[in-house]
Amino acid sequence: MDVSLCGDCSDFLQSNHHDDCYGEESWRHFKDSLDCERLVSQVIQTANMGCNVCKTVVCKFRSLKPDLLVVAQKNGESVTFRVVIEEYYNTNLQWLEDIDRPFLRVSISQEEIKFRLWPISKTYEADCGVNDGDQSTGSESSFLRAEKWLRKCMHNHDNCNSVNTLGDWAPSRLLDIGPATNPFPTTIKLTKTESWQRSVHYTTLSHCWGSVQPFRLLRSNLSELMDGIPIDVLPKTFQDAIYATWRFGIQYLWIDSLCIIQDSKKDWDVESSLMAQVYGRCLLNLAATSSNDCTGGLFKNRPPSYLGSRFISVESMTDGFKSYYQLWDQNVWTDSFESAKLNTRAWVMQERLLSPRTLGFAKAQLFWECRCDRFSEEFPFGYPSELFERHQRGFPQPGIQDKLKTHSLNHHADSRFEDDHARRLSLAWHNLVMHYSEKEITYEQDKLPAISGIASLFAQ
Amino acid sequence: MNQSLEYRAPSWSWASVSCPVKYLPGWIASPEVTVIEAEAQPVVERSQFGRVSEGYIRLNGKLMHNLTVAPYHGHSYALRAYGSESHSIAAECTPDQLLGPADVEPEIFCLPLGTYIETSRALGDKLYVGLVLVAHEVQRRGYYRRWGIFKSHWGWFGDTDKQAPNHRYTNDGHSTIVLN
Repeated sequence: MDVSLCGDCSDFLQSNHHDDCYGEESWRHFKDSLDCERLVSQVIQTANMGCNVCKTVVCKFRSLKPDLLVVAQKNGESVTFRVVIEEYYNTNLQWLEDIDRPFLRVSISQEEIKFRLWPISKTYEADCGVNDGDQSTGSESSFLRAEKWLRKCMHNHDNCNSVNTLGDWAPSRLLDIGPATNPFPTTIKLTKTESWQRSVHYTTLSHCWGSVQPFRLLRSNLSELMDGIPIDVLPKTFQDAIYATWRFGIQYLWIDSLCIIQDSKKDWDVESSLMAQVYGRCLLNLAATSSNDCTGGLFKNRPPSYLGSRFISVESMTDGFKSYYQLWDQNVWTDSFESAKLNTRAWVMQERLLSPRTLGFAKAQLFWECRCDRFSEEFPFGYPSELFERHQRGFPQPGIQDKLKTHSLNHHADSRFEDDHARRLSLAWHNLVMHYSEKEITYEQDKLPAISGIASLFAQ
Repeated sequence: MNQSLEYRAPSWSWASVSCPVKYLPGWIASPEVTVIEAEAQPVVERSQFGRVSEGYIRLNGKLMHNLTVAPYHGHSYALRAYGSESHSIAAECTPDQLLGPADVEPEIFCLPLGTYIETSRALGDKLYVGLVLVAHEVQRRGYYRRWGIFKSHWGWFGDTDKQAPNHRYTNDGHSTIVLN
């Protein structure tokens, strides 16, 4: 793991990291620091030389205000570094203890940025920085990471592997891309599954239709598509989804515009009421998080502002023990994944919540969420969350937690009603409706249908 | 707070408005209403959770009248007893749709729901909450639709001059009304 630090950062962090005892245990932790001032020009220099902290700081300021650094450097201004301990406690969830959370605050004149110093164990062997050949979110190393998440989830997560009790079931139509042992195909086929009597592994696609009409299944081209579809007539997002499906070794893919007859009201009414099954039973939901329509694709070249994981180590002045931390910009999940256009769409909400696993292809990195865990390429061993948030995310929701990703549905969770099943369920439903009502919908008549898959699960 | 032109859901449902909705983070203690039945009619018979063509809640409760509403500040309206001095506000009301300058003030009714217990705070002041209703456009005895909600720090629901008379309820029993 790359823990490069410049001398200034190393000294500053070391002198504010203390060795204390907590009974028998040694407790190594940051304490509030004094301001540490360094010239902007120096920080830019050490950033270029590869200091993880300086690189992060320079990059963040650049993306916030492109000309800030240039002006500040010209005026001979300085950057102020400071470690701040924020106490965190919540009186409502009564099992919580107060905790000390260290932050690194960095400011230039009036602008301030803030990173959580997230403690990690040193057992992370993998270098999670950006390597050559890793410049795209469709690169081999991205797939290797995602594959690890998928394997871990399929082996370890009970909630993610349980399916609704329908027995054997497959969506009425699926796109067959051929056995995964075959080379990457040039044509795929639309298949009907009515005679199958078995469950199959398939992926689904979550995408924005946007202003571009995607390639659609119509009554007139049904038989044509069942004979075969050349991949190169399909829009980029569909092509990338086919590649990802093939790359994960899965034979079937479900895409709404190709698996529901778009000019048949009857087919639409029937199929759109089956979303709880279609998404709930997929192996993996591929989310075109960075695309506003079907031409955008899943895979993107990472922007220069993406630095990968930034690790730092701090060596004890008394015994040389090394403590490891990762710099965590706490807005990343929200800014890069949650607020992407795809996740503001009403239909997409149930696709995301119903599918056991969603792999989000965002602009700079992949995001993973399943019913039990979250990852991103920057945090490949688990996306961090604060203690309070962890309790809320893990708030028990028996009956739905093995059918839905419930972690966003526990705001206002209250230990006072942890044993009250009905109240817990109504809390989750109310949170769901509140989130949902903020989403955008093209056809107002879809307001109830677009959430009907989740509604059917709550009704069970 | 926009109601759409096309029918989407009954007025008491979050699905009838096209703006973000908020639930109060808590629950109602000592409820003042009893739901007798609630139903919604699906447009497509087999998609039970899809579109609906109508829906109602039949309930027993205490209907209050002789009340007026007027804009107070921001999106908040003041609910006052009819003919009372302007200072005595009975409750603060949030309409689902703001009255336009040309809109005639509707004849409103109040349906107290109970006292509200907030999750995120320790037990403090008592807060009474309820629905503000208007009679249904299609005049039918005891039929109402939701117009907004009200919150009040004191319970004035015992006041006899504000109790709605019998003909404001449906025929089929004591204190029964239907919300569409």
